[in-house]
Parts: sequence; structure tokens; C-alpha cells
Amino acid sequence: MLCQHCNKEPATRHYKQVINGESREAHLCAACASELGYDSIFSWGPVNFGFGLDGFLSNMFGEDPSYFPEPSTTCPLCGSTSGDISRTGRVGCARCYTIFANMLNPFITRIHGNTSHTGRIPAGIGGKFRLRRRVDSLKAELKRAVETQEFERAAELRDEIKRLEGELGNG
Amino acid sequence: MGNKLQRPKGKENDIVVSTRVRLARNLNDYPFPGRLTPSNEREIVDKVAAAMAASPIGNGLRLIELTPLGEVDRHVLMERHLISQELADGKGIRAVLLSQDEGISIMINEEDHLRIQVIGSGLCLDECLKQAIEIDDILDHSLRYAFDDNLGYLTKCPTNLGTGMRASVMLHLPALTQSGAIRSLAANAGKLGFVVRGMFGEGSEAKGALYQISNQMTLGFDEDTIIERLYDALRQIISHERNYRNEAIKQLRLQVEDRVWRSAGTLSYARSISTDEAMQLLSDVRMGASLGLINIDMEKLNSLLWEIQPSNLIKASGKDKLSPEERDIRRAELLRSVIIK
Repeated sequence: MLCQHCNKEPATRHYKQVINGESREAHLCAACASELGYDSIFSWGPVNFGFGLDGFLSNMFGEDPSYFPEPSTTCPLCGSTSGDISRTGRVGCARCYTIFANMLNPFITRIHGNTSHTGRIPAGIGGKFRLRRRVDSLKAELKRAVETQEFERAAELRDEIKRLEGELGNG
Repeated sequence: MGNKLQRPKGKENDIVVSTRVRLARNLNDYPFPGRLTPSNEREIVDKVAAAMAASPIGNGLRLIELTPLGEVDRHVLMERHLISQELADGKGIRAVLLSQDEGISIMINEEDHLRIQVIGSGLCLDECLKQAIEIDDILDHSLRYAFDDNLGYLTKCPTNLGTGMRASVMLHLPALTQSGAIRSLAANAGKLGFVVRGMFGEGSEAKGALYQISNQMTLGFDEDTIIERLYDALRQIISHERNYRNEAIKQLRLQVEDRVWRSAGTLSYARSISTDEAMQLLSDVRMGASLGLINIDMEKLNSLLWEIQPSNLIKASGKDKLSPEERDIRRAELLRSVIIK
């Protein structure tokens, strides 16, 4: 394995971080490890903090051929191939996320953890998705209410969740 | 051009220089930048500009096309953090919509079709996010965003999936730098879910003890949670920096004062000065000002951070180019005119 910072020397230093329960690794040569400040907390010089996930991503794609289950697949919208994505660490278009899901999803899990989107959503996204979101957030609130023994509030929440789940089932 | 960083004092401005929130967005019906035809690129610029023009915020925005601009003009914008290096030096038809006070910059055909960026002085994550969301709502109203229920907003780089949000705060950390404690901060940053970079982002060195701290995760947390976690990290960093500064002044007052005044002296009298040296000296003076050792306007110091950069010096000179030696002379002139009061 080559150093993911310089891509020239063999990686002899291996670092692992755990973030929110997900482990993350850095594989560097001795010189880059020192340059990036992995070796000591005492020495100080001009430090390049640019070590991001970009090189990490394309390298991870590159090192294991089993990540290319459909080598000949081409995205019909943008013409990207799995090789393009693994080489650049970048995706060609929105459709690629569906076309190359088998290849991309393990990496997305590695970067972000096994999780899904909980942030803002575009106005045009359907009511059912919003409803499911609302149920999830009410369930979290219900759990808190039970923990803090606010039973009256918990009962209200349970009714509301039941009603919304009914709506979801009928939709 | 107006100047956001000279506006009223920002919160925690002894340490926090500026705050930035950016949202990455793509249009559903086009490939991502890099795979667009020139006519696609043109359409996207026009659609985004038209969508904003129809809104009250959009009235105050100016469309700057990057492609016809020379390198100096493009780098002037980059050095002021109004556009990214990717947009400044990229290929194809690219543009930026810039507000008059330069607090809003909407980059078009950067790595993603859209990078909605809001910058403010001092620590103001909530305010920046609020304004970025207002702009996002306007564009969402007339453009169809690329979105997936599980992956969120779809971006060219999978590291931006989900919220597509990068909240970033520029901090001046001379005492943590001097003491070496910055190393453990950088090493521990990942565990707390944030990233430490130099002043000009990815790949740039931390000059003048200036660092950008930003969130690492974009998927699985909502915008408010990401901002709240970043605040938590920042509170710790800011309080550590203040403690180190106070400790330094308690134990080494003479040395600290001597260093601050020597730096102020050099800035006041030097006849030729490089960017790196100027950044270091300004860092000392900035710390001196925050400790009350020296009297200089903090907001002016903030704007000097970009005024002394090469392309801004060339632009201010009214010439097409300046040799490095000429730039060093002009930089020294500029600094003398500000520091000597």
C-alpha cells in the first residue's frame, strides 16, 4: 500500500480514529506522517493540514478490485464508468449514485457511518417522506418523554404517532 | 467593493476572525460540473442568476462571470475568500453572484453546480446558516435539486453528501501554536468530528497562526446539530487559547510585550516585506491588541489579511502585474500606512 498523502512511498505508519463509533484509518509513509504532525505533539513547524478525505477515497477505491462488481457499466446520463469514479473519487452525476450504488454505498458508509440523511429536504419532495420524517422525530421525542417521566406528554405523542402511521399506511 | 470584514465588531473577535457556511447543491437534470457541455454550463449560470434575480435578496447581487476575467481579478476574489480556488482556477463557464457587502457569494459551476456561501465577521454560525437557508429556499423554489431520501443532497464528492453543508470558522490561535498544543488539537479534531486546515483551506499552510475549523460529517446529522457540535468544539478551543494567552502574559509578560512591540516596529518601519513575514508579524500584533498591550483596530487587522496578499496588491496598484520584489515594497508601504498612527 502506498502512502495516501504523497502516493509515492510505501505506507509504513498506520493510524486509526474512531468517530461516532465508526473507525477511520490513515496510511502514511514516515516522512508524511511526520510532516502531517502524526508523530509528536511537541515539535512544531509549518504544518500542512490539507490531509483530507479526498486522497483517502480514491485510494480506497483503487486498492481492492472487488469494489468493481460491474467494470463495464456506464452511466447513461453522464457517461461515467466505475473506473472514472474510482480514479477521481468524484461522481459524474446524480444518476451515478443509483447506477453505481453497489460500489459507492460501502464507501459512503465508511465516510459517514451507517446512516441516512436527516437534514433539510427540497420543497418538491413528496409528502410521504416528510410524514415518515415527522414520525421518526416524534418517536425520538416520545423516548425522551418516557425517560423524563412526562407521561401525559408521552400519551399525546403516542396518539399522534399512531394517527400519522395510519396516514402513512393508507397513502 | 464593500468589505464585510470591516463591518461592526464580530463576536469573540479576539480569536474568531470570520465565519462561513456553505451549502453544496446540484440541479437534477444535468451531469455534475466536469461532465457538462459548454451550453449546459451557460444554461446553469443563467438559470441560477434568473432564479435569484426574481427575489428581494437577489436584487442586491452582482453576477461576475469568471471565464473572461484575468488571473489577477480571479485571485483577488479568492484571496478575499469570496470564491474558492476551484472556482478561480477551474475550467469552463463559471460565475459568482456576489452581494454588495460581500457577505453572500453563490458560486456557480464550481465542484458542484451551486455553492451557496455566507460569510460574517467574528463567530456567527447561526446567522450565516439562517441566511444560507433563505437563499437555498429561493433557489429550491425554481430549480429542481438532485436529492435522494437516504443520501440527502447529491454532490460530486461523496464526502459532502447529506446536508451538503460545510460550516467553517477562521480562528487566530497564536498561543496554542506557540505552545505546541495546536498539535494535539489537530490530532484530536477527527474524534470530535471536525477538521483543522490552514487559512486558504485544503492543502494550505497555517500561516500567521490562522486556522479554519470545519465540520467533517455532512450525512446523518441535521444542520442545527452539526452547528451545535461545532460550537461545542469552538468553545473549548477558544477557552484554551484564552487560557494559554493569559498564562503567557502572567508568566512571561516582558517577553510577550517585547515580541508584540518588535513586530509592530517592523511593520511600522520595514521597506520590503514578504507575505509570510507580514502574516507572522500581524499575528503577533493581533494577539497584542487582543491582550490590550497595543491599540489597533481589530477589524482593520482582519482586512489586512487579504489586502497584503499578492493579487490584491497588484489590483490596488492599478498595474497588470508586479514582480515579487515590487510586491514586497508595496506590502511594506501599505503596512506602514496602517500600523503607524
